[in-house]
Amino acid sequence: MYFSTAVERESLSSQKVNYNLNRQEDNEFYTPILPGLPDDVAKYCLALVPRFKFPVMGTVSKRWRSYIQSKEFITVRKLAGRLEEWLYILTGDSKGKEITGRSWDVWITQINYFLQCPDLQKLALVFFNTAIQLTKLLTLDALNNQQFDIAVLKPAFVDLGVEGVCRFALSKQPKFLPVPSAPFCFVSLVRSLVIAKLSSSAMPSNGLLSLFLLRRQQLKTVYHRGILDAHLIGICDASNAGGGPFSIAILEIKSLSTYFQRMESCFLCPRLRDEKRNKYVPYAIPCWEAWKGICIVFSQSLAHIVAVTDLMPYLMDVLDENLPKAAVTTNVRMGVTAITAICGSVLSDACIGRYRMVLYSTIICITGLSLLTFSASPKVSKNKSESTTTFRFALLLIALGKAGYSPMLKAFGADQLKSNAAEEDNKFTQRVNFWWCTGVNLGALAGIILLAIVESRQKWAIGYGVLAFTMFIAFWVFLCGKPDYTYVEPHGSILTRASHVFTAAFLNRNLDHPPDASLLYHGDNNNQLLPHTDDFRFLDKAAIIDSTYSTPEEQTMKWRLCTVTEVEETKLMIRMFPMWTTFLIYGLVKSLGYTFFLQQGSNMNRKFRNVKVPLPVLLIFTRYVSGQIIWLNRRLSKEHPRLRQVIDPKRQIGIGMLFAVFCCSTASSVEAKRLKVVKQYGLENKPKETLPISIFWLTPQFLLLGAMDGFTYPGIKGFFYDQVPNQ
Amino acid sequence: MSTKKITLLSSDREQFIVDEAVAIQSQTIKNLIEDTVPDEDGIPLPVVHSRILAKVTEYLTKHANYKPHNDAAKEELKNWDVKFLGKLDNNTLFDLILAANYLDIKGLLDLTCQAVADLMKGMSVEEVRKLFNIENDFTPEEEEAVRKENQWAFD
Repeated sequence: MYFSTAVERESLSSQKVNYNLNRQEDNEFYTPILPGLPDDVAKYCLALVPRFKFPVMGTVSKRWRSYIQSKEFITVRKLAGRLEEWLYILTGDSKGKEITGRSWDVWITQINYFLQCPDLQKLALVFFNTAIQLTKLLTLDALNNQQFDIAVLKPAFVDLGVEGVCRFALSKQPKFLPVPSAPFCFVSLVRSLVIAKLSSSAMPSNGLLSLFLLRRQQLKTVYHRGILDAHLIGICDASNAGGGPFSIAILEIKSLSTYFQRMESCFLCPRLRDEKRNKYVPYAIPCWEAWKGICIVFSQSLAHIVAVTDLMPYLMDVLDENLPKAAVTTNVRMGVTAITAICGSVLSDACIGRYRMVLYSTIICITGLSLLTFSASPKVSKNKSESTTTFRFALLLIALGKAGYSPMLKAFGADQLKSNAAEEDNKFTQRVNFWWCTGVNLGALAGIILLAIVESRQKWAIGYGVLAFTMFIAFWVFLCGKPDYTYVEPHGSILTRASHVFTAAFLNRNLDHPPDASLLYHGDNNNQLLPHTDDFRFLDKAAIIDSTYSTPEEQTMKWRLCTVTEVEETKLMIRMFPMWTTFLIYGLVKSLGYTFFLQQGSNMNRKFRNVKVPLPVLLIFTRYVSGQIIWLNRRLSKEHPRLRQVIDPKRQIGIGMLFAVFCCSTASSVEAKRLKVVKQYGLENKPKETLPISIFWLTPQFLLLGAMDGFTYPGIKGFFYDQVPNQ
Repeated sequence: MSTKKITLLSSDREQFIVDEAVAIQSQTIKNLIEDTVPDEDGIPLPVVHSRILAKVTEYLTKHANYKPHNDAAKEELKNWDVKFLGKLDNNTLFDLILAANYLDIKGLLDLTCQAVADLMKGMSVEEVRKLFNIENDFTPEEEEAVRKENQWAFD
């Protein structure tokens, strides 16, 4: 049904606090609001009544009265677009310079009625600024030049009084910057930005406002502020004297805690000169975005070079390892990368944040590459044991580094683009994918060409040196964007939350399930909620509120309570286990391509006409096919939306797996043919001899590998986007 | 769009044949068409009586065939809506709200809920209670206190 869901979603957060209380009331004194209509519809009807009728409505019955005074009523009115119809007017008698007898009047526009607000004696004399936030009127008044009051006026339908006054001392005129439909409001002062929080009704009446002063030392004179795409932007003079470089503070208006965090992204902005500061603020945003995009994509593309570094020929040629041993080394490296990637993402999500993760891991990676160059240099490589040790250590570092940055870079890039994205999600994902694909493919192509050159000339040291150097450039470019990046603070990874859920479910194993899933703990933040589901009921125990604890927060602190959303997230993870085995096979086949397939070709005839074709050219086929398939797929599904339903991510993975089967069977028959040729010419014991069989026999299997990759990779990605909640 | 016909079946088994484009303005019917194999008789809507369904299809047909391009046309559609509601008594209005909620037709729900809100506009407390059949659960003292609080509104 249209209405019930919409309102519930909106008002969940406000209701939840008093959830148990309201329920009881419902059970004991239940009467419908409008007999004959479900309550949600009735509430909507009442919300559409103009405000001046509220006194009448409030006298009809107790149920009506309590509803009209509730927070939910405001929420429903907001949804219906009927929130404000009153105008607040400050009146006063002026006697010379002094203003006496001041009061607030409310003009009810519908009926042209003036209503006087009583009791303003507490407030001081000079009135500066007002804002209306969630139906409450805030006023700023000065006692004298040092002290200000912020007063909250409560224009509830019955009494229009002063709800609370908060006094603070600062100089010069403050100003309110209201944030639409948020429970707080910014006050801009000369030397700082202050946030005024409208309390919930649960707080005592004298604690109505809590004020936070933010980094006054960094934000000096605030010249200009505006609100853009849910970000508060303030331009401030960073120097005490004035006229120096300006800093721009971008504050994300989401919750109080992020507000604090986001102040960290206050940065110096020399590009905005004094006279321009007022004009250019809003327009500066898209430029930053492009700049950040370029930084990240460029570093991504270069960084990806390392990903395609193919060590097999090096291992075999220089270190004289045999085929199985070389394959083991390569696969161990890939395995270490994959496993540390998981640890890395947990680490960055849980404590150090994505930016620093990318930073540290890139440094590790560069160190690794430099060591690799060192070990491959002619002087060192003469001493075999030393060179091998250095080489192995370098490999480990590269694997660790790659594990750190490759998953993080994309997520970090997404953070950058997301912060200013007002568009819908779909467009946003497209944008991320575009930058990502561009970066990865350019990088891979450059990497393959480089390797091809190096391999044919056997100059390993130079090759790895170039890699290390480009990586360093990428790192430098990445650092260039530092002042402009958006930083998302670590918020706990899915694995920490999952372990929390399991622990809580285990500790609560003796508690009984409540009769209704709505009695489970839903938390009270505004995060997107996952609806409760009925399977894996033992995990639901984690969300049972234990009455022996005084508050749910206390229970949460002791790892005995999780929100339903967290529990559902964990359930999702468990449900995906069967799918994970498929991903395992995908990884296996892909790694075959990078190791054994290439090895097959190592002593085949590489002549094409008169040119000796470098081995990694075959990987270009793979890349090309997978790129084409991804592109075609996207193009088709965009033009024919029906096709998008047919080729959903799961089917894509299926098709990809089918190609994996073809790929492996082709590879095996080609290998059979190759071995036959080996036997025929009696070359079993001469691995360095070139076989009289063309390397292009390998083309089909590389093409099929590309086809598999082209279907499975976006399939897996789409699958995760569909299944996994936003966090 | 093809002019595919959809048959809707009211609670008293009366059939209503409408264009698909008309019917799918209701999110519920749209989902039913997509998700279920149609009955031989049509799509069953067990909650909606034929008397109400006739009204609903009248509204949907008007709104499906009439896409306003300018202000004058919008005004005309608004006038049609007012006329459409003007003919209704309170019981029908409530039934129509229930149907709009069940069938998930946003436009109709907004229109009918607004009509209920408008009913209240010119009424006194007693009239509101009588109209919606609401029991007065205040004690006389409580009611006196509440009324005093809001004295200005009763002047």
